[in-house]
Parts: sequence; structure tokens; C-alpha cells
Amino acid sequence: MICPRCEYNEAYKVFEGEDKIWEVFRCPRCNFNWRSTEGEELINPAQYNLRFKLNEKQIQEMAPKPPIPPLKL
Amino acid sequence: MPYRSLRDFIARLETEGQLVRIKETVRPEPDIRAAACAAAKMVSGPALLFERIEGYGDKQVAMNVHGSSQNHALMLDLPKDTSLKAQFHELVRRFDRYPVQSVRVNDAPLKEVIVDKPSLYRELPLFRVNPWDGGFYLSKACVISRDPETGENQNVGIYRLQVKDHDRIGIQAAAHHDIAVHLRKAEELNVPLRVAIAVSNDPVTSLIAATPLRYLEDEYAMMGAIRGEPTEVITSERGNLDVPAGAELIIEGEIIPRKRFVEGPFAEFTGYYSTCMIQAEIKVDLITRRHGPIIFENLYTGIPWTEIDYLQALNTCVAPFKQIKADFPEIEALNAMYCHGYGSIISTRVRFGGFAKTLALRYLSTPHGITYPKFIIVVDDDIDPFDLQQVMWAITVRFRAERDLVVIPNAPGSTVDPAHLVRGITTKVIIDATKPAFPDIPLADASIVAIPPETQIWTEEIMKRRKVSI
Repeated sequence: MICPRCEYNEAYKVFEGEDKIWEVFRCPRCNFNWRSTEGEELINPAQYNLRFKLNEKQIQEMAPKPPIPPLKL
Repeated sequence: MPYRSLRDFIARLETEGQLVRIKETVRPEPDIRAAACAAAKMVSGPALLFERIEGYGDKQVAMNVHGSSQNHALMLDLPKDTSLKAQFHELVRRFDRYPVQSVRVNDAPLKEVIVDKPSLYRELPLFRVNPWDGGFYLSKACVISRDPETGENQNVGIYRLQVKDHDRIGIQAAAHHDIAVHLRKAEELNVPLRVAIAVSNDPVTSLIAATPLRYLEDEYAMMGAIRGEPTEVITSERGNLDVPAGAELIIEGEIIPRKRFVEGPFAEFTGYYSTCMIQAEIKVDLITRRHGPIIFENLYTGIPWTEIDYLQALNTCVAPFKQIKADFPEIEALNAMYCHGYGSIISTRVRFGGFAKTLALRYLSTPHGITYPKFIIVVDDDIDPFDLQQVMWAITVRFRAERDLVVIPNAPGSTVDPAHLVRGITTKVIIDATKPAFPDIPLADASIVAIPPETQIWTEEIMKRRKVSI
């Protein structure tokens, strides 16, 4: 399964609704979660809003919030 | 105070015509967000109870519980048509009863079921609040933690929480939030920070968890002050935390020390999405809850006004108001309702020329004022700061830009302000719209037209004849 947001190809199903009416997927790289019944613009990697797409470089450059303090010895 | 749980308050809202039940099956997306947005934007917007959500069995969702002036008044057990200004002064009065210490109980419905190693997807009817959110958020749950060095100074706060996996929740602990102090201490020692997350609470618990109190102030003791009776708490299963006994469900876990993980975006109270960042994460290990179908209360955020503009509104005003009042008793009222106080209006008596600037700067040194306010308007005490027509009049006739405009660049700012150039840094603007006082130069034409003294009598008479209550 490809993550619609960061296009990591190891996304997987984590849950399904009663009577399997929908499935929820998660991406282990960018933590995106989505439901199979959401619109194509949310679940299809080719249609996902470019403004909110992520890639590995962006993830690597993200600043930690809050900053991690030095260890107190 | 009559409400010990969300269920108690829902019953009152229904009696008062402030609750709408949605009995038909709705889709998790987009139905819940769209209905919640609609309710929040209505005059006298009601709370919504979704009784059937596709795929989630008999779990229910409550939205817009605080989402109107009427609901806010009922939370305070006031008549639902009480004005915002009157609710503000009532809240100020009740804050003065602080502290009313919590009482510990040994049993509560939230202990009926204990789920070890739970799945958040299974336990909660999750849904995406806004389309480009990074996942399913708990946007109204209360997070409880203690100072890990002392075991004291418990904090209760609402922070955005992103469900990322069966047992993982991202948490936004911005540096100025009290929980960030606990987290920093835990991370300095390289130990996990134990937390409990109370889901679906009585309305005063959520209100005070969303209130900017001082670091050492006890949220539970403030909830008791607002209620007029002690808040009932019960001990968490692990970690010795006090959790609100009226909650539907408690998630217990710990913040993983010294690690950050991708979180967001999330549509914030500003009406804009915040960006993705790497943030702290909670590893969940336990859930305690009621038997039977739970009610999951969540919050819609979007372009104001939405429910959050009532949940962090008058309470946002009261805490810094009282902090300023302690030093400068001339302050009459503070309206910090616009985007959580980004825009704020102070009304005051003026002790001497330039005094408005002193008050505005004092506001900027309160815990809330450090980051949130970007523009502060100061008006005289003859202006109701909750009445924008009056405020605009004061600015138009009393403000002299060459003397009364103060710009403070490179000041601390809200990290989710969409207008920032550097995240967390902003420019503050003070607009002094008070009349100049000695030794400043007075206004050239200082003769204000008086309101005819009989006006109030006539107002009441006209309203009576229109058969509309004041």
C-alpha cells in the first residue's frame, strides 16, 4: 500500500469498521492515517493535495517541537 | 454546580433546546465535521449528538458542546440568554473563590472496564476533523501530568493529540505550555513522562483545561471554584495521576523521552492549517472506561467562529485580567476572544498619561500574554470591550497614530500564527485608544455628547412593546 501523502510504499491496514464497511491505513514513515471511504483527493497518491505532500527530505529537515534539552548528569 | 459528567450536561442542554440528536447513520467523514461547523456558525448553535456512525457500532459522538454563548451560559448554570459581558464578570467572581480543592473518590463509572494494551481505533469512534489534517485527532481531551522531579504540581491541559497507531498518540507540547515544563524535566533525566488523557468530560473540566492559568495554579482547584463545589477525581491505574471522575474514558500512557515523530498538520483555531513538525509521542498502555456505548466528545476547528472560539474565549480573558488587576486595579475588563487573544481589547481607567501602554505591556508579561496577543487595543472604561461598535468608535476618535501606536518587533509569538516570518516570533502592536490624560496633551475637542438619561427607560419600554426579552 502506498501512502497518499509521502508515497512511502510500506503503508498498511491497521483497522476495519464494523461489517468491514471501511478500512483504516497508516504510513509508518509520515504517520498519515486515512480511511478507505474518504475522497479520492485524500486516498489516491496521484490526487493528494500537493500543498500537503511530504517527502523524506522534508521529514529529515523538520525541527523538533519542543526542542530536546541536554541531559542533566 | 449541577454537572458531574458530560452526560449530565447533555441532559440539561436537551431540556433547554440546545441539543440536537442525529439519529440517522452518518459517515465519519465528512458528515461529522460539516454538521459541527454548521452548528457552531448558527445563532444559539446547539450541541450535536451523533447516535450512529458508520462502522462504529453503538459508539456516539458529541460535538459543539460549548459552541454558543447559550451553551456557555448553561455550563455556568446561568440563564441561557446571559450576555457575554455578564458571563465574563461572573467568571471573574468565581475565579476569586479559588482554590476549592478536589475530593478523591474510590469508584467511578470510568473504572467499569479496564483494557490492557488497548487499540485506540477499537475504543474510540475516530474521525478526521478537517481534510488535510495528518490523521484522526482528539481535539478536546484533557491531558494530566505531574512534575517528574517532585511528583507535585499536577497540570491539566488540552493539547492537540493525533492518533497515529493502535497505541501511539502524537502530542503538541509547545515550549510555553505547562506540560512542556514537565516534559523538559523528564527528558533532562531521560525518563518517560507518565500522562493520563481524560476523554469526554463535564464542561467545566474542559473549560479550565483550556484556561491559561499560572504554572503553579491547580486546575482542579480552579474547576471547583467555577463549579462552587469540589471536583471529584480518582487515581489513575498507573502513575499516581488524578483524573476527573466524571470522564467517559481515560487513556493512560507515557511520553517517550528524547524522541520526536512526524505530527500534523492540524487545522488550528486560527482558521489555518499548521505545518507538519516532529513532535513528542505518547505510548499508550491502558484504557479505563464506562461499560456500554461511550460518547466521544471532540471539537471542530476552522475559520472562526467555531466551538473553540467559545471554549477558549471568556476563560482566556479572565486569567490574565486577574493577573493584571492584582498590579493595576484600574483595569475594568479584558476581551481576549479573537483567535485566543491574538487580538485583545483592554478597558481601563487611566491613572496618568501613557498608562494604557503600561497596562498593555503588563498584559504581555502574563503567561498567556507572552505569546498569543499580537495587537492590543486599550480603551477607556466608558467603552465596553465586548462591543466592537464602541471599540471602533474609541479608535476612530481617540487614537493618534503618531503618539499612540507602539510596535514591538521580534517578540515571542504563537507558533501556529499563520502570519509569522520566523515561527514563534511576532511583532506586537499596541493601539492606545484612551483619552490622553495629564501630563499628555488633551484632545482638542473633548466635549463628549451625553447619552440622554431617559434612554434606558425607553429601551426597556420599546423592548417590552416588541415582546423581546433583553
